[in-house]
Amino acid sequence: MTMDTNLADLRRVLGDLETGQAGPDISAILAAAKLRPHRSAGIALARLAQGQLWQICAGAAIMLAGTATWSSQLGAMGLLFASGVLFHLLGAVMIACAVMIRMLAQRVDLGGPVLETQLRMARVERIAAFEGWVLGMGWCFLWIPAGAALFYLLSGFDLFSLGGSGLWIGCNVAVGVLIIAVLRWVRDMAAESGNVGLAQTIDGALTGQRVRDASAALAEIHTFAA
Amino acid sequence: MNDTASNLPPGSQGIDAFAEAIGNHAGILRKVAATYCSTEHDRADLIQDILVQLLAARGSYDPQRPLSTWMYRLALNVAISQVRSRYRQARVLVPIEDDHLEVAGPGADHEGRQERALLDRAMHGLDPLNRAIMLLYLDGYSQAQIGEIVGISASNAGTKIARIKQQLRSAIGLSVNQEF
Repeated sequence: MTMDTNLADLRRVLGDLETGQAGPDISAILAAAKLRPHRSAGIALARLAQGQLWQICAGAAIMLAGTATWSSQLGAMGLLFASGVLFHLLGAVMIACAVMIRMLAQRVDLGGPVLETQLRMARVERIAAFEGWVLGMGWCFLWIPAGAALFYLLSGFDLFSLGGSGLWIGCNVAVGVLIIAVLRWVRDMAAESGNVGLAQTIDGALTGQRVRDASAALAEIHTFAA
Repeated sequence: MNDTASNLPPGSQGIDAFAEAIGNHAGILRKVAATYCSTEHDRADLIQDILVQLLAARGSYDPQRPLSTWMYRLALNVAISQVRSRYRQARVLVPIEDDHLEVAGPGADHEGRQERALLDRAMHGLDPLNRAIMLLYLDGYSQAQIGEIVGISASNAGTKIARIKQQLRSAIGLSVNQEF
């Protein structure tokens, strides 16, 4: 490659693409695309909007499970806290966030000006990344209430009645910290054994890599707009 | 070439007629794909995603406006979104580039690859939004048209073009003729 690259050379390369002398066969791809015109394309925003449907379903299931647990046990303070406060609230938050993110994603007009559209997309992706990280990390501290609620649904016995609220909250926090510690250990082991992909995935989940990526993308767009 | 699809009723374009209108501007898709993807496989994937989005969004196209402007906007938005996704995935999984496998192939298009490498080399150091500006500039769009597609003022587009040229000059030794 010469160091004297010319803009005219670049224009010639693009000109070849205009006349179809290079690049993929558009007519064949277009014929295939016409057969499924409403299929969501593989862009991140479309996947994000679709993913929210699953989150709405999961949130509804969690809410129903929470309601089924506490509605018949209003006198059991432990279950009321575990399933009523945590799970009912968790399910409602999951549904509300999913509906909001889906609406925001669907309102992005891909045919709009590039800068404005990219800003909207980056904002939606950052909100979704933050919500996903908070809800995901939250689950580290929800296994004991989830287990107790499930145990009650299966056996009718309130595990929280065996100890005071302080004991169960303490256990809950301890289990959450333990889960995070185990994840960090697995991350370190994966890194040492050369499994960089697994190590980076766990690291990203623990430290909110998606949130940082989305924030960096948003910052890049703001810099361009300035 | 008619740059609008004004013969189509707004909001209810038939898919065949709309697909034909898109096909008349297929060069836009090839150029965007060549600007944002470095492998044949990625380019085909991107073009497919853009086409699906173009067909799905045809109801929002205003036939009184230039089809090429709308196509460029949508294609660039999809391409930039894909580039950001690929960057995130590449941190976990780094694929082998198709072109590397093709180098010694019997039917390898060395000239075509060199030309694409020229474009890759020019675009590689630019962020996705500046790539869009450079692509539109190289495609002969005016500063006002670039501003309309990207969503910035014409003077801002001119400033950015000058900066990009300067960046390319120092990064890859780009020489700028009088005509530019």
